[in-house]
Amino acid sequence: MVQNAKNRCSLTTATALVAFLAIGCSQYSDISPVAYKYSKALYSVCNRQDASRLSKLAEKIEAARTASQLTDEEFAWLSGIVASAQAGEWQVATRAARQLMEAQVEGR
Amino acid sequence: MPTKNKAGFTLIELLVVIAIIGVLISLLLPAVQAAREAARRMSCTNNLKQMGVALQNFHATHNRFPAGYISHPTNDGTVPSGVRIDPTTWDAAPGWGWAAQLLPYLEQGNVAQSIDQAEPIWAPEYADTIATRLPVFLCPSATGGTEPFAVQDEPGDPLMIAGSEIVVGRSHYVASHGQESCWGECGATTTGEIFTDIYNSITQVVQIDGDVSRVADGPFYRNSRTRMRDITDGTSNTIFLGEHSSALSEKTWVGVIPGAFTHPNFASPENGSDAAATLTLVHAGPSGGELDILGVPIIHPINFPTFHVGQMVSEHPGGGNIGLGDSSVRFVSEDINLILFAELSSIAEGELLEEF
Repeated sequence: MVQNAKNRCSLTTATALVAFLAIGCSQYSDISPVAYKYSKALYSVCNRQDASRLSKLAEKIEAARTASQLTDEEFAWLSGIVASAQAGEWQVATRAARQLMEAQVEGR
Repeated sequence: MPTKNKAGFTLIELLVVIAIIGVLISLLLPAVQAAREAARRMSCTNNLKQMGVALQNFHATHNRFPAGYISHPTNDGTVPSGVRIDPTTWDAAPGWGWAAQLLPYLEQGNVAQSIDQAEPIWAPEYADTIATRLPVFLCPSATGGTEPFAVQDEPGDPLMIAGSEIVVGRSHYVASHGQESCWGECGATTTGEIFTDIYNSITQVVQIDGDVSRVADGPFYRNSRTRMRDITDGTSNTIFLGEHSSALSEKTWVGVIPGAFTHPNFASPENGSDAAATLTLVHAGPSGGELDILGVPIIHPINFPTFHVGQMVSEHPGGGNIGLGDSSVRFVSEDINLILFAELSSIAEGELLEEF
């Protein structure tokens, strides 16, 4: 009985660890070509720390969401990066935009 | 009854010791890996330094830097009968690249002496020579192979000339064509679009007629003859060389074979094959009037995540090495300011550069 409980505990711990690693290692998944173009522009804007272009891009992302060109998930990811940049966390936003683009690479 | 005095460890003690050793190893391993990578990066830096010094020696001898690659003059799109030419790009024989021209200055005199650079790369008598593995062109951190490879055609099959594959020595280093690229589109196309002002996305259509110098704004391109005095932005402010890991695509020290293509080894939404000149050259962008969704020129510095075969790619964590025109070598972040990287890539745009 005690042995079974220990096994279950180990299994739960291992599952939690794998889930944590999986989530941590692949925060983003596949996005559409339209979302990719926004992520590329976002990287460029964040890299240059260009606040005026950031607000224009935020509007475009919002408009694309309204026009159903972006899924909820894509919109959430892009908006999250925009929010980081708007909070002055340019490097965090740049890194996130890079990760979003890198997540689209296949076969590497 | 005498009690038996047990010597040795209990299971718990053994497990604790193993756990402690495990923790210590996990603490030490990253440090060891970092030290090994630092050594590899230093070796890579040294390779670029050697090439930088070789470029200076070449200039001292010839009063110019080597051509990006040597192609028979094709400004009217024709070459003498028997000279191989790519009808699209107008790349033609002999094709020897910047690195092949540097061989005598890289202590590779024996290889250099076995080559007549007036003859085409793919001449059968050079089959062994061009497949030579030269360590100075190999970065220890780069994955994707160090052995010679067979040059590919547009579909990705081995390029066949006179019934034979062309196997060339690999390079993990490339030369800079500048911001603009002019390889696939600089042949039969007689006009092209170039950026005259990347800050305001202003472009201009120019007549090319196969003359790459009308588009290229970097130190190395087809039949370039860049001199020190041409680099008015300053040699210490101009990128000459950089890295390109074979993990992304195959590059060679040999040169450019008309009809060849460079293919990516992994796919991103915006990468694909590119013309033969990308066997030895890359560019920083922007190029050909390409704008992003905001109308901003597209610039792709080292490790830019579109992973185009015509850009620099390094496997050193966080960035990569670049060789400047003064033969110095710098490690630049992959998140370097895009505009700054573009400015560093041109030789005479007159920009005021910030520190990097």
